[in-house]
Amino acid sequence: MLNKKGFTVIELIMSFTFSSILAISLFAVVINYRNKEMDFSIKNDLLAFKSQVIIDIQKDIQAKGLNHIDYCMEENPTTHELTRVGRCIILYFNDSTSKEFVVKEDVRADSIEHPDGSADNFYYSIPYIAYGGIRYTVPDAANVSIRNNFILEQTSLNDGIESNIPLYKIRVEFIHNDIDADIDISVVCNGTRTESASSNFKSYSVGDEVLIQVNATTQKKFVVIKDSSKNNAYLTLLYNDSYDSLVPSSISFNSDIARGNDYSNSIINEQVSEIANLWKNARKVRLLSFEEASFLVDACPYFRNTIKNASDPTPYFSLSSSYSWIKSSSFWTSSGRDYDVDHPNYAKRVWIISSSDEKLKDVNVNESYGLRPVIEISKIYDANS
Amino acid sequence: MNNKGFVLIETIVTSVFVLGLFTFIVANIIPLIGDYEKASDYDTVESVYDAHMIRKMLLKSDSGKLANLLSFTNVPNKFYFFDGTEICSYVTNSVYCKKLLSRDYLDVRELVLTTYTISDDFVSYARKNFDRALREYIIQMQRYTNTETNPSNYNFARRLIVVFNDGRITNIELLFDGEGGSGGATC
Repeated sequence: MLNKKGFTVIELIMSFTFSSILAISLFAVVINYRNKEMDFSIKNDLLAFKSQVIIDIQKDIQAKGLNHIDYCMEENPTTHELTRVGRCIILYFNDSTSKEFVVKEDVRADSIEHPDGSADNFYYSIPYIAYGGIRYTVPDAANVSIRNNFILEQTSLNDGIESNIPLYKIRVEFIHNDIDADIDISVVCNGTRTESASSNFKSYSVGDEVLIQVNATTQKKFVVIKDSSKNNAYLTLLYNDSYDSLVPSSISFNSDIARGNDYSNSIINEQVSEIANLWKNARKVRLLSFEEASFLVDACPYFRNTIKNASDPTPYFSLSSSYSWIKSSSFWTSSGRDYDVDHPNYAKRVWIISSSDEKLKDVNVNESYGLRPVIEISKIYDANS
Repeated sequence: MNNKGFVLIETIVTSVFVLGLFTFIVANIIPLIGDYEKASDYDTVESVYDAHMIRKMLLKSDSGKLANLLSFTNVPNKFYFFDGTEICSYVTNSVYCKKLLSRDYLDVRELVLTTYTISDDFVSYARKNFDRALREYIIQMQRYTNTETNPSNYNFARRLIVVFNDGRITNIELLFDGEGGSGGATC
């Protein structure tokens, strides 16, 4: 209370406390926005880097016209088998020139000296992109890593596209360790070289078993999941070897769904990429999509529609009358759905094939299920044909 | 108040008033910062190139259905809204179109086809009916006034707004020759 003698102790304490709370809260707000500004500045640099790479590739495509894109290949001197080399592709243009697009990392060494004179040596990676001999260094590179899912998507005769217009997508994803920003370089373009239809290929039907030479030393058993006529040079297959499904050794999910574990974009895709690196003859290695799974098990239309209805708590479809090979093991598909529409940051529920209860159903993200990759591969790798 | 200082109720009322003012300011400033960040997804380099792929496809399509669509005859507010790959039923190469717009390639969420210049009717419709991201993009878009001396050159000019699933939004012009595609292509 105020009186003519000045402030009482309690008034002073109250004033100081109030002022301090206000100052601390303002300080926290200011720091928060300073950090945001710094993050935004790094993000802008990364966006400028990404734009520069995309513009330079697109300029070539617009000016010369793209013929086709292929992986960089290396020939085994003994077997003369061609295998893919690293994260490298070649863009072939219509004027008969070509440019290599390579995603690489420089490993650098450094050391920290301790006060007692000892030192710790450590290594770190500086990612960069080389396109047509020009090197594009990633800004703030010491804090940026490349996701292990370098992708070259390409259409094939199997897709049934009118006039076989080829479509390509080059995609590289970067992650900055400190800021919440995924920067991906993505270029979608057409080529002019069309695959010529030939009538010399063997035809396959859904359910046919094939033994595929996935690399120089390994053969694996697969099942055809898409009819392929004698005009088609490629096969779409589901892994069906005696291992049933591949359970990655290093996989570790955070089972706390509220932490926003992103099923579709992170851990599993990296595992698929690792398999793709081992099976270099395959033009694409991926997971079975929900749409493919539901058609293969002949799921009713009502069930297919439930994928858009996240309010249905436990949709499932019985596999009792489905192909035995599709329910021979439990495995993930590539699709998820929102766990809870009111909590979009929660992890996706994942569509799985469950061999134990013979159902196509959705479950929370966890490590109990295996990978059964789908591969798209040329028919020449069928060991039986 | 009297000469003895503030009573409890005066202090509480003042504190509540100050806190209310503070909350009001924060609540109005924070969304503006969010909007600024969101604007970084507008008209990015790759989204313009991606939209160009869709433009190439539409310009090459000689489907009569697309020509009918482009006439905007009896279409209120002069626009069409397409969810995902819905537009593919109007183009000649529908399999290619579905592949191009799919998650594997462009990953398109929505397409809006409207007139070359952005009309007030379209904007006011967008304000009331479109989702927030699309609505805010349309509100801040240029109106693209037709500056051609010969207005007939722009009789078949249209504008395509593309919303991608990763939040990017862009728009691109389509210059048709009035025959439902196959001409006027700049690519």
